[in-house]
Amino acid sequence: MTKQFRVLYKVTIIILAILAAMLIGSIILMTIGADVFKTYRVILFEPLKTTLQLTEVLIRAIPLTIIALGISVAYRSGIINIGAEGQMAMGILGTTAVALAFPELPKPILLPMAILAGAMAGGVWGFIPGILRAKLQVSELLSTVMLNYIAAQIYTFMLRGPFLDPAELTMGSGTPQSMRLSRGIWLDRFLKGTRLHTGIFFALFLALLIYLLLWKTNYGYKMRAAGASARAARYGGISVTWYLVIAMVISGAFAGMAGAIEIAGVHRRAIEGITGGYGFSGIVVALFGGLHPAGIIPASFFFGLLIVGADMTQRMVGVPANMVNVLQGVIILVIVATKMILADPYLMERVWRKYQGIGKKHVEVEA
Amino acid sequence: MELTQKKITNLRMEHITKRFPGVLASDDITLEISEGQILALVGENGAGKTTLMNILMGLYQPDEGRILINGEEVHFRSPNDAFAAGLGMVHQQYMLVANMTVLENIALGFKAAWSPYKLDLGMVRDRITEIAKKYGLVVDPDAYIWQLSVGEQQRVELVKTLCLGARFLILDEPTSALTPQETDELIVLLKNMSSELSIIFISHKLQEVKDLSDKITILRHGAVVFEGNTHEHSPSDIAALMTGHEVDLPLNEEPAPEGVPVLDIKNLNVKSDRGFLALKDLNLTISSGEIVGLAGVSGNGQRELAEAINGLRKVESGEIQFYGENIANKSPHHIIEAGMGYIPEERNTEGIVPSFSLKENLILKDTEHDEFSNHAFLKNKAIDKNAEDLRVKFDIRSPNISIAAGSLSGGNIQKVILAREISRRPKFLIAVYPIRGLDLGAAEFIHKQLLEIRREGIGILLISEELDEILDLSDRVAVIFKGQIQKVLDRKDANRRSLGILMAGVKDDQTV
Repeated sequence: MTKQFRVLYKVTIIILAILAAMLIGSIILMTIGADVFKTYRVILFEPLKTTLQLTEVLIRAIPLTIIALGISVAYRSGIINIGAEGQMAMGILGTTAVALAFPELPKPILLPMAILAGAMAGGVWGFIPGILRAKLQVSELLSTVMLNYIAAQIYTFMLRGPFLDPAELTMGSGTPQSMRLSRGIWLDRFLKGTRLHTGIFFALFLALLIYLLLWKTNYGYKMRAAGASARAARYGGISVTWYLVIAMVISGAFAGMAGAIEIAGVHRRAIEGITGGYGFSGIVVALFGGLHPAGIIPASFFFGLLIVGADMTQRMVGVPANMVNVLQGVIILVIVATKMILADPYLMERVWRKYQGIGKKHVEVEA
Repeated sequence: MELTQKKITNLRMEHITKRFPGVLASDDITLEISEGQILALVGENGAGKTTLMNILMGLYQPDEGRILINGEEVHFRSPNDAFAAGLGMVHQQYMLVANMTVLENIALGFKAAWSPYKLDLGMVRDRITEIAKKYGLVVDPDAYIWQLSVGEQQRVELVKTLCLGARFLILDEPTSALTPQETDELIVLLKNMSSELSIIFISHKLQEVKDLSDKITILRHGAVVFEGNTHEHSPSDIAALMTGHEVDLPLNEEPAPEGVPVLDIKNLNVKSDRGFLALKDLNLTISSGEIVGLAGVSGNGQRELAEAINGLRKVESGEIQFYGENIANKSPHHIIEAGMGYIPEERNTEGIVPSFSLKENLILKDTEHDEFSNHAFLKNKAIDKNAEDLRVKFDIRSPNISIAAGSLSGGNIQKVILAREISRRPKFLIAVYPIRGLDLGAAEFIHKQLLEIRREGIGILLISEELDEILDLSDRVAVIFKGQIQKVLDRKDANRRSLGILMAGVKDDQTV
C-alpha cells in the first residue's frame, strides 16, 4: 500500500463522512419544511461574508479552543471530562470574585490574577472528579456530570445573591448579573467596530503550550502513556492515578480560563447562561480536532461558524437555532462511525485491492 | 449460514504469492495436506508462516495463486467464508473476551444457538460437553476467562473452534504458552484428533514438530526451502534448514558465582486477582551474578511473585529485601529507580505501549532522566540516537524507529523490551517467559544477552515453564508449587525428571 493511497483513502473517507452528515442533516431540515440548500448556505457561508460576522465566529471559537485543549489533555491521559460546562462556570465565578474584590488594582496585576483565579476555580472543579476516580474508582462520567449541576446551582446562587449588581437592586429589575467589572480585567478589542478581543492570542498561545506539554515534555509523555495503555504505564513506573488527577486539574483549569476570557473579553460581567453549552461543544471540538491542537483550532473555527450560522438561519430562513444542536449530534455520530472505519485495516486492504484493479486497467488503457 | 459437513480430504495451496510494501511475504508457496495428516509449518519469525495461514483463513487475499479444497477451487473473501468451508484457526493471541465466561465466549460465535430474541446457552453447554468428551478437552464452562491461565485459555480456544464445526484445524504456535506437561498432553490430544481431522500447526519447537507431525514444510523469507516427511529428518537437520545455519542455544556452563544475596524474599504473602493467597509464606534468596530459574506449572504464583517484587501487586505481609532495602509495597517507580529490571509476561500490553513508537517505548522508564530530558523537555536527538543504537545492537527488525511498537512481531517486541531493560543497566533482572513464542534465532539472542549480563554480576530471576530454558541457563533452580517454593536445587541436581516431580507437587523426590 503506498503512502499516497493511505492519505487519499483517509481524505476520501472524511469527505464522505461530511457528505453523509450533510445528507442526514438535510433530511432533518426537510422534515421541518426548511429550504435545505439555503439553510446550509446561510450556516456555512453567510457568517464569512462580512468582517463583523467573521469576528463573531472567531469570538465563539476562542472559548471552544481553550475548552477543547483541556478536554484533549484529559482524553489523552485516559479520563473523559464531561464537566467542562461546570468548570467553566466556576472559572467565571473565580474571575468575577477577584475582579469585584480588587477593582482598583492596575491591569497588569489584576488581569493575570483574575485569569489565574478562574483557572484555579475550574481546576478545583476538575480535581474533584480526578481524585474521586484515582482514589475511589468513581466513574468520571458520573462525577463530572453531577458536578455540572452543582456548579450551575452555585453559579445561579452567586449571581442572584452575593455577586448581584447593586444597581439591579435599586432599579428593581432584578436581572441576575454581576455589576460591570473593573476596566482592569478588560481584554482589548483590537479591531475597530468589532468585539474581537486579545483572548484570541491567548487561545493560540495555550494551543502551543498544550502541544509542547503533550508531545515535547516528559510529563506529556507520561500522560499519553497512561492514557494509551494504563497497564504498560504502570509497569514503566508512571503513577497512572497521579497523572489522571493532574490531567483533570489541567482540563478543569482550561475550562475555567475559557470562562475568564469569555467575561474579560466579551461580556465584562458575569451573566446567567454565559456557558451556553460551550463545555459540551468543546468535547465535540476536541474529538473533531483529533485531540490535537493543530486539529482543534480549525475545528473550533468550524463550530464557531455553526453557532453564528445558526443565529443567522433563525433570522434569514426561519430555521430555529436549536437545529444546530441537532446537526452537532449528527456530526458526533458521523465522527464516531468515521473513526471506526478509519481504524479498520481490512477494509482499507480491500479498497486498496479494488483501487489497484482500477489502476491497472487505467494503465492498460493509457498504454 | 448453512455449514457443509463434508470432510476435507485434501487441501492444496498453489503458487501463493503475497506482497506487502517492501516485503515479499509469500513467494510462490505450494503446499498440500490430506485427510488425517498433521503438517508442521516451520520457520523463524517473519518467515511468512502466519501470513500464509491468514491467506488460507481469508484474512488476506493472495496476489497470485489459488486454494483448492477436495480438488475444487475456493475463494475466501473473509474468515467467515473459510469458516463455512470448515477451516478453523486458533491464533497465537487468543481471541477471547476476558470478562465473559467460557460458555458466553463460545456462544458468541455459535450462530445456531441464536434466535432473534433468545440465546440458547443450554445448547452451547451441551455442545461443549460433547466436544470435551469426544476429544478429552476439559474446560469449566462457567469460569471467567480472566480467571484462567494461558494454558487453560488455549484449551478454551480449541474447544471454541471445534464447537463451531471446524473440520480442519490451523494452530498458530499452540504450545508457545503451555507448560511441558500441558504440551505433552496437547500432543497426545492432537494425535488422537488427527484421526478425525487434518491439522496444520505452526511451530518453532523442533521436538514437538518431531513428535507430532507427519509432514513438514519449512519457510524462510517467504519461500518454501524444504518439504518432506518428518520421520526422515532429525531435529538438528530441521533447525539448520530453518535458520540457514547451525543453531545451538547457549548454555550456562560457568562455575557458580560467589555473589552476595541481593534479593531476599521472606515469608511473602500475596493475593491473586481472585482474592485467595497466591503466595503463601514464600521464601527465596538470589545472589548477584547468578541466574535462578523458577520452574513451575503456570498459575502457581509466578505472575503474582513477579508483580509483587515490582510493586505492581499489593504485598499482604512479608519482606522483599533488595540491596538492603525492603521494597515490599513500594511504588513501581521507586523499585525501578532502585535498580530492578523486569521483562513482563504480557509483552504486548504491559511491556510496551503498543500505540507508541519504537523510540518512545525504549525510554518508557527513563523519561525524566537527564539522558533524555532537559528540564522536562524531551531530548529528541538523544532519544533518536538511543533508538538507532539499540536497534542495531539488539537486532530489532523494523523499517524505522518511528513505527508503532505494537505493529512489530512478537520476537521484535521482546527485543525492544530486552533492549530497554538491559540498556538501563539494572542491578537485578526479573525475566518472565522471555522466549515464549520466539523463534530459535531470537531465543538464542535473548539467552546470550541474559548470560552476558549475568557475567557482569547481575542477578536474574528467570521465570519459565520451559524446562529446557531453565536447565540451560540456571545456576540454581527453584520449583514453585501452590505459592510456595517446593525446593531449590543446584544445577547439577536438576534434570527434567526431578523438576517434573517437584512441579507436580511431590516434595521429596526420593519417595517416588
